[in-house]
Amino acid sequence: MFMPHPHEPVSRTEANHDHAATTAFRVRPDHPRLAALILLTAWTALGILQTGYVMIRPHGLVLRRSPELDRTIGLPAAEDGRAVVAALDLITAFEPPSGVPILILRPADADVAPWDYIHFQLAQLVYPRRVDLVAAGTPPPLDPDRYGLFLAPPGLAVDDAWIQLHAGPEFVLYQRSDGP
Amino acid sequence: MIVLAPALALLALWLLGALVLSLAHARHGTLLERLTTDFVAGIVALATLGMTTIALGGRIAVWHTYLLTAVLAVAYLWRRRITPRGGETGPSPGRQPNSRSNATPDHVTHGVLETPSTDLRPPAHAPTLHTSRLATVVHAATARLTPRKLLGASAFIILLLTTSAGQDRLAWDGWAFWTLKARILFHEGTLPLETLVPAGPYPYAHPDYPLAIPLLDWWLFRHAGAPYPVLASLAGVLWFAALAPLVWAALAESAGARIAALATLGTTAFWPLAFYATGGYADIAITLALLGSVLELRRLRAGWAGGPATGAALRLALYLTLAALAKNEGLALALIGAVAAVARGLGAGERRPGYYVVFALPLIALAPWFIFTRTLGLVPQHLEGAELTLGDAVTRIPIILAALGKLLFSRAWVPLPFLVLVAMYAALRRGRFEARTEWWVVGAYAAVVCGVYLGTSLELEWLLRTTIDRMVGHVVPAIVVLSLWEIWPMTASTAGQVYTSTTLPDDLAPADHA
Repeated sequence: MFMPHPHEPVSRTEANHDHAATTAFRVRPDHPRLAALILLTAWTALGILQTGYVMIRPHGLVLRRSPELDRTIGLPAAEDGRAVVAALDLITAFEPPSGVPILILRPADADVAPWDYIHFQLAQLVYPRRVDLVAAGTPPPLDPDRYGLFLAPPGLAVDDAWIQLHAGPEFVLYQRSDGP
Repeated sequence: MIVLAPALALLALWLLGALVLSLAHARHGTLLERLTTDFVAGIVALATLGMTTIALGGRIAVWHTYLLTAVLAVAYLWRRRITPRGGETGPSPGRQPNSRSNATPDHVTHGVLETPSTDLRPPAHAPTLHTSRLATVVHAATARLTPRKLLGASAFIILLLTTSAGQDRLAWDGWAFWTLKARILFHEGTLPLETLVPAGPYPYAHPDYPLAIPLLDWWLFRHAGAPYPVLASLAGVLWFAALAPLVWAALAESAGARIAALATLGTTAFWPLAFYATGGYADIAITLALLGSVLELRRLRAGWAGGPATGAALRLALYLTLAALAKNEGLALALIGAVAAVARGLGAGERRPGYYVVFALPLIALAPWFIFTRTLGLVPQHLEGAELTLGDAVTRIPIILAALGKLLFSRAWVPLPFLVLVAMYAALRRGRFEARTEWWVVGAYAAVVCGVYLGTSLELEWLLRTTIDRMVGHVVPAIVVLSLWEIWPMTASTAGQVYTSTTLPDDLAPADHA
């Protein structure tokens, strides 16, 4: 005759009763919770790996970027961005007195949008110094005498009141002949 | 000075927020959560005051904020003087005679989720994992991940980010838009019209956007004496760090300390959020506001079940106001959240008018700035001149889905969609969604963002490439919390009730390892 083992319950009901009475609840798989714990752990681990990877790179825990690119990250990649960086380099190299505005001249027939973008980027980069942009042949917003530096693409004619300080592939930098 | 003065400035802002919430009987939670909500309340007060001043043509000054703080401090002390024991004047809004609930004060308990807890040990009923071989392996592998270790790792990551941001991590939008506005505010005390109008030099700087982020940066710059960019980057760490106490608070009671700590660590280790936060982007404020909103929406329900809901309603209104004052899309979140809260109130039979009135707070706070910018003709750049037809929008759907798919199957994003699927499975198996209203809020907000992609006048591919990760990032902590709520729902067990083997609900695994 079949006899259950002394420690083996004879029925499911009895088993449950037995187990609950003696220890804790009988456990059963809970797949969503198991899956959630695995996914949560994986998410955390991947995040830690990515954060750690970033932190050991030059733009991570110890930022290593060249000072001239400090504020122009991302700009050199685009054509109009390169113009901004070039203009900024010139302004930085020939730093006019604080507060003296800068004028940028664009070709009269050029597409306006890229130049507006160049204007915006340059204006925010050198703020609080004022930067104005005008099309060739258009009078600037301020008295021309008030501008300390004047940037124009190569090939644009400039009157004798301005002397050329530097000529680059993107811009030519001028200064008033009587100084800023 | 560059460290001490801004630290004191943050302390002053915290004090302002603490006073606001104390007077409103809405301070609540663990110490870190209270610090977070105080911080949010302080920024909301600062931003409301600053944006209103600018919209009315005035110049902002730090003494305005200190004057407001002093007035609130006097009101607070006066109230304490006349009610020295409880610090409350008469019945709080949460215990009105016609209120459904008539329980303990807001700061004591608001039901299941409202009990402050600093105990890191999992409660006796904490759900754990069970019998299968895989479960045993997983349990063994994760058993040593105690809550203290996990939270310690979170703190360590925050420390790393602080160190990194201390060298100025500002990224493009952070520098060119938000910090620019903060610098203009520092120099001018306002945003002059020529800096806002499209013909001015800054048309790309989203001149119509609200100013919560720049005004916090301005506050720090003013106290430091100069517009140090590093302060804006460090402010981003603060926004980011504020997520952690909310994730913990959302999950500690229902899912147990270990899951809550793991989710907290996962959030603080999620690099896409940290990158944009320390980069000075405004998106982190929306992320925080959405997480806080779903947490308080849930507490509303718990409040009706076991205590006054007023504190949760006020904090929900606070987070929605933060969203409205941080970014344009935050206004959509504020409206969606308000609709959800009103619906929840109606569903619960809430009769107090004050409950519904508080959800007008985001609109009231934003109104002066909104009217001012619309009067200037400023409109959201993303939708300016949009003339898309329905057919055009439909053709964009595959492009958006492809970008979304590409994002969600890259790096640390990968587990998230699967976690949501598991949550859906758990909810369907149970036959109901634990956080239906909160899912609705997150889904509606995501739909609004998708709507912008569908209708934008900007080049879609460029816009997706430059924004989709931070837009999806808005919902990540909220989605994680909602998913875990579905998997570890707030049951009677988590309210501290003792189950027997015969009353154990099917969806609650017993604690065999407790």
